[in-house]
Amino acid sequence: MTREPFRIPSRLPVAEVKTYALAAPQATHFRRASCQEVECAEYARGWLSMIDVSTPLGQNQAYYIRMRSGRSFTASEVDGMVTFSFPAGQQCFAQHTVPLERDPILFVRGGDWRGNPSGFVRRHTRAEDWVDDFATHQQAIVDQFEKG
Amino acid sequence: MAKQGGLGFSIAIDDSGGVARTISNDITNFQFATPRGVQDVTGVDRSAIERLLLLADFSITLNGVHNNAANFSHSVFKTVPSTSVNRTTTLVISGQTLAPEVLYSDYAVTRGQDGSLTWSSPGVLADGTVPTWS
Repeated sequence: MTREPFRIPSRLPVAEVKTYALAAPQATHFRRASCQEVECAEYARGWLSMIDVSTPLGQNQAYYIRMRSGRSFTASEVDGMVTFSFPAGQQCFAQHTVPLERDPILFVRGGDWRGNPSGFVRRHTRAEDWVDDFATHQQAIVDQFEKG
Repeated sequence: MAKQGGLGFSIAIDDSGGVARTISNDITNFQFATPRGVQDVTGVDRSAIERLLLLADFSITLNGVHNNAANFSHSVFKTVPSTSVNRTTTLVISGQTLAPEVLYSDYAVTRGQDGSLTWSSPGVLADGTVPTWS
């Protein structure tokens, strides 16, 4: 479920703000990885999955574990709760990812998280240029501060 | 501890104890919002003090993928709701460093319909010092 995070309100209207951003989207900058690659604790030590089989969701999960997961386990049931104990050395149920180590996408745009009313977007292809743009802008603000 | 990759950038955030933790591998998006231009802000208010306050109005948003390994993103941000500490946020790219002091206001974890687990953490400049690159 998505919720907007709590933010301390900006004193500047969105039109008076610009954003320097870098992005490494999951779709283009990450790949799936095995438990071994990320040194997964569940893989190393094993894990427990507690499933409430009194619900349709729990029944489906238990069916998947028993019939389709392909993992080895032992199971015990108490009052409708089944505890599956998975020994170490097998892939857990999480989908791990690792970065592809590509350079990030670097851009400058108008506005902030509230929107981009000006529609201004500039994409830099070299990190040096993005940093130079960013640094020059920040220095202009510092100079204004020092003037008071 | 999970392995580190060699991304083209590095982001380290202080945990609640003030120890910098490099969490670049977990970051999918870094956004730093800054006043658009000195002249624009100057026109917002005639008071010099107010004008300088506006010039110090920065916000930051980090987005990433959930990682509960020791000293990675979940370990760093899980204390945001329970603590009020300024955290040095160090971005290194192309040999240059930006290290503002940031007060993070939330750590929102989202589970997508595709089963992905992501997070978003917004913050604001904490100490009134305009961040500069070095």
